[in-house]
Amino acid sequence: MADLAQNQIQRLVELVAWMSQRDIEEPVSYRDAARHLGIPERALQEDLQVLLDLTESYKPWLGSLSVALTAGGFILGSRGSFRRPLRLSRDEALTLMLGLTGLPGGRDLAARLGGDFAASQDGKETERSWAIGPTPAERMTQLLGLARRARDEHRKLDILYSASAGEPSRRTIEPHQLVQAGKTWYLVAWCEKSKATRRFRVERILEALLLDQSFTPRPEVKLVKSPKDLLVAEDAATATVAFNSRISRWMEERYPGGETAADGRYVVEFPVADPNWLAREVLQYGAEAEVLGPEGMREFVRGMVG
Amino acid sequence: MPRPRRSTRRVSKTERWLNLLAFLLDRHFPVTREEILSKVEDYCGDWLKGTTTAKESVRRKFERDKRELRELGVVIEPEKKKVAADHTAGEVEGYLLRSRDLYLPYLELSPGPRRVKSPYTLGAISLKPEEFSLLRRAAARVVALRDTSLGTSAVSALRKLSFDLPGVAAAADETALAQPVNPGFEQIFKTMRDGVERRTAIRCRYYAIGKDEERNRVIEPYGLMLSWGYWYCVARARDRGAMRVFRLDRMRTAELLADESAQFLVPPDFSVRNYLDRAPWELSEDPPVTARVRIRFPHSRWTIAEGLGRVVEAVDSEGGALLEFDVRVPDAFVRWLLPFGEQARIVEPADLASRLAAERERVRAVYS
Repeated sequence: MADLAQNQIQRLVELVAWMSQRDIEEPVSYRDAARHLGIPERALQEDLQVLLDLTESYKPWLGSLSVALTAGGFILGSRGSFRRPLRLSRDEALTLMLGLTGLPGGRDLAARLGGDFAASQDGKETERSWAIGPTPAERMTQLLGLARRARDEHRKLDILYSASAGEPSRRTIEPHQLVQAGKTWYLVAWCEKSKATRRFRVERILEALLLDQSFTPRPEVKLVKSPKDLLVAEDAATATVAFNSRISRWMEERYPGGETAADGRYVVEFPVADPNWLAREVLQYGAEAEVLGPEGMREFVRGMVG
Repeated sequence: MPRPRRSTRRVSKTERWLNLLAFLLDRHFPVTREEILSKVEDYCGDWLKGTTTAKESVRRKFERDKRELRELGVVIEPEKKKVAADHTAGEVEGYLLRSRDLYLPYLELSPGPRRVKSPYTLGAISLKPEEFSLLRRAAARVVALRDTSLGTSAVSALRKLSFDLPGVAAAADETALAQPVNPGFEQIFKTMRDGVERRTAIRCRYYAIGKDEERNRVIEPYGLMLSWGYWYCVARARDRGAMRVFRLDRMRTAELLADESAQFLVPPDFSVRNYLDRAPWELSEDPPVTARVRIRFPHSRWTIAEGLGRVVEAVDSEGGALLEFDVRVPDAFVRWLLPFGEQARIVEPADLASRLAAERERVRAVYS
């Protein structure tokens, strides 16, 4: 299997390089090494076995390689070959180009890091046939820049925020994380006003001012790791939504875990932190989706269409 | 040097490649193919048998290995200058694998500590602090590829860069979330990617949500883009003879055409970037209809901040704004406006306003 060998040789060379670069000669546990390399422990052990199985016939490079298994893990090192990772493969260079191209100044950096691939006809074709977006609008770019600076320099931000309901309010926040979900950017921050973690939609920040006051990052701030984290809130409720049978197949894939009702509709439950989110999510499907309950949310969605 | 022993032990491809790379790295002058095949384990066993069939089989294996290693970025090709060889009177091709052609160049932060010693003669790429920040943002963006066949490469690329720049890998403080994908998505994505890269037309079964119908389509995929959280393919639809944009998660099946009509040419002026920053209602080449929409505060501010539409009146008497939109896909536009409720009103054209009103009426009927 070519794909298996291609993946394995990359991992092995990286493993040898990483272990050879370590200053300490203590064994590393399988768990720590697997975590560092981002691979399952089983894959790591299989890779090590390949090294242990190397033939007994003479090869100079094996003389510079040392492998030892210990009770807690293993020691591995090379004084010769494979002390650095291999160059970026075509697909690796492609992903890097995708990430960088489109960011201001990213194209030049992609050309330097992408090496031969970026300069090749193949690389040029990639540039015109692949893209990640959308590019944030100018106002959003300014706000995101300010938020990144506040986050990285641990400085507080004074914002005028316009939530879904009520008048805009002024708050002092401590930015911890930026999250992009589709075209929407969220700023996850500690809010001094509510004394809790809050997620602010960046396009709804009407004004922002970087303060001189610094803050210490708070371990209690709940960072977003997956799309469902965006739905979690202390006062979250559960709403039941039914999707018309015409679109149910697509909805089953988009919102797995629901059930098909007797009338053929696909019924799924959503955790709802913000009724406005539910309304937007449901109304994008027009009359093909219906909030069944609770009554308050059903009424809220109905009220949105006037 | 001791001669290699013939072995009956099965050598894995990974091991053979390690041996081949190490063998070539250990030599600082070009080596002939004869020398490689007679000394690197897993080639040498059959090569030294000397039968024509066995030798041909080894030659093919070597060529296959070169081809597959090339996909990893490792190029093993003969030098331009031929070399003298022991096994023949004439000059033959010689192979030389330089460290700089195999290993990642050194990545350095400038200004930063200088490298004190290195085992290889490699080039270095120096990054300014702002470029390092840029790379971290790029790392956050490529995380969005994780559910595609490029996901593994995205992760390994970042890990390689973090070898010299430990803080560059995607950090928890900035992340991109992709929309959940269905189980068949990866195969669809792979087929579309093959179609784009090999310029090969695709037959797919596509669900058009606006028309609520599923149809077989034959498309020429020009480009792929991730926008508004979804993967889209910008393609020329053969049945329409026109450009169309397809959402990959609405494709039930996709297969590459294998007949003579499969190949196509992409117009030289095509770039997927021309579609990237379009809103869903602009993703078509149909002539646009200009829609004027009055949006109340604060929705007006949010819409303007997102860069959607053109501002006609920045602040009207009610604190809202009047905006213009180029609408090429009316259904997508109506669906976008629906959640605005009474906060948005289409001023013109009348038929689009009627369409929105009708859609609202349908929703009201559901809740009556």
